[in-house]
Amino acid sequence: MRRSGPGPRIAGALFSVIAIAAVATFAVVHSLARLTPVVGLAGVGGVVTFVVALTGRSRAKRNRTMVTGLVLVATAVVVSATRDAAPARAGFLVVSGAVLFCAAEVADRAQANARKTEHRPGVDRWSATWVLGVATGSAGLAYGAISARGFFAGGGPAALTAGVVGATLVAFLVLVVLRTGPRTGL
Amino acid sequence: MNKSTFGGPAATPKVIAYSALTGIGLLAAVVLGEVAVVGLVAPFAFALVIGLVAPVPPLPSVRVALDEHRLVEGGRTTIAIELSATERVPHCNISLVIPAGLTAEGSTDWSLGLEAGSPGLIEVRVTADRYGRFVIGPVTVSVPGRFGLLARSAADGGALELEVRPDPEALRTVARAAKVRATAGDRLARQAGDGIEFAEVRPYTAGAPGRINWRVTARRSAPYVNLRHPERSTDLILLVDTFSAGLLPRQVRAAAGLASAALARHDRVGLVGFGGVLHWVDPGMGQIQLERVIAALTATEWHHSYAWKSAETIPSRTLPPTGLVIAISPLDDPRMLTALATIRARGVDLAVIETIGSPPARHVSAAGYLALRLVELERIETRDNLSNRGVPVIAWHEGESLETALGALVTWRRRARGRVVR
Repeated sequence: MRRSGPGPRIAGALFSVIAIAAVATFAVVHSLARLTPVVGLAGVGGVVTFVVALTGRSRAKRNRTMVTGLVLVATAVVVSATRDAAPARAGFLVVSGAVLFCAAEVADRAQANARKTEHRPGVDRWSATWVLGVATGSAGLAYGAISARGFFAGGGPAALTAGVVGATLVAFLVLVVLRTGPRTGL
Repeated sequence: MNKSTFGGPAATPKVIAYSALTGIGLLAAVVLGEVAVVGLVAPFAFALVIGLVAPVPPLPSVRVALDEHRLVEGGRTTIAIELSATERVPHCNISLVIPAGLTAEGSTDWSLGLEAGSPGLIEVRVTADRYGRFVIGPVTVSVPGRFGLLARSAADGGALELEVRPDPEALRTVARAAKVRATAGDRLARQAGDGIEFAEVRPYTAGAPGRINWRVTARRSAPYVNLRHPERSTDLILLVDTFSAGLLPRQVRAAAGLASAALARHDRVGLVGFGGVLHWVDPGMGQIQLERVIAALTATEWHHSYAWKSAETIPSRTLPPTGLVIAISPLDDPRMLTALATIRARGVDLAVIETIGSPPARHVSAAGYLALRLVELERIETRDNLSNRGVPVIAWHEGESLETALGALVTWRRRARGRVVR
């Protein structure tokens, strides 16, 4: 039996903020000079909103603010990738989506841990495998689908290869997730 | 003991959040004509689908039991929450609401997993900080599904009652009424008659009580008898001021102590709670009366009210003319002061124990100090007004023994006998 102290909550919140900030920073660095102010504004606004959400007490309000922060960071990502080539843009967006999802999940779980909750042995609080599986699997599937669409639209063998790799990755991750099952917390 | 009901899975606020993110992403993809934007929200969409499709384990059944249903202030009891599930529940959140006035030793929120057929037991010890009737619970049980998008939850309990009785002040001295009743008791009556305590020697008269004193009879050549003080009971009415909340626990403890001590001396004791809500216990004696009085004191609470209350609302049978009424009050509400004046004007033998709280903080401003002085002057005037009506007012300070205050009251009444009382 152990009581949840501030440690896991702070670590979770810190991890999620760092992940969000990394995505926003990459978007700012990646953006063209002309778009940097827009991307920077959206990115910084998104990170700040996300941090504010972590301090909220009401769960519904916290979710709303968190969604706003994620939308702002996603806007920065989309705007920064507008001038990229299609494969690079797809890869950038897919990876950013996976990182944002992981950050959102970690932040949500960290905040859901009430301060004085006593954790008894044998509780499966959440499974990192499931979160990573969904993040990576969905990213691979999305990239594969986008690439396949590009091939059928005349994107060439490179797009088809990317699509096949993505689909294989998804199948592999689904298999891993189903075989592993839920694990005890982070 | 209580048992929970089962509830179906319900969507959590996270569903709305993930749906919004997915919807915004898809809309942006359509508006921008850029399918790659879908990749940005794909994980949220996947999690949404998995979370909504995955089954949510059923709620475990919950039994809540209380070790002891009746305590005295400062006492402890154990709340036992027993959970059992027919299927494996990997994650279950339990939350217990402890009402104000009780303090739980340890957490009141738990997170645990349950195996099928293997019950889980949670025990939490609670300490009663103050008197009152408390309802334990409810116990909220929540079982989240995959990704916390769906959850089953149910609230249970709220039917477990815990009665915490006031811890009575230990007393040996109890002020007594000037007049005694006709029934037997522990109080010495002033008049001579049959009893144990010697009173005087009187010439024998036919039909008079007393035993012949042979020595005096032989010496005086006329029959003389020994007269003794009979033991009689008295009436004690406790008038508890419930207009102000701050000092009410002390007043209730004092009333409980006075009632216990008086009933132990075979006096009749009655109770009047005078405040936002009027309640009373008619005078009576014995262990049953003690139970009634303590139960009434346990239910005594502060109820805020602007309504004017006067002594006319108090039933006359609760204030017998031969009894002593001890009012326990901070004397800060004009309604109580008026009621005391009215009761005294009826000729009722009345005494006041003035409860005084903790002294104010040392570092007060000049204006604050002036205000405190004015309040103190008002209190002095109130005491003087009551004293001029023949009502002794005994100050009972925070941290001081009630026994000391009662000693002062007994001394005052002994000195004032025949002058202002009556």
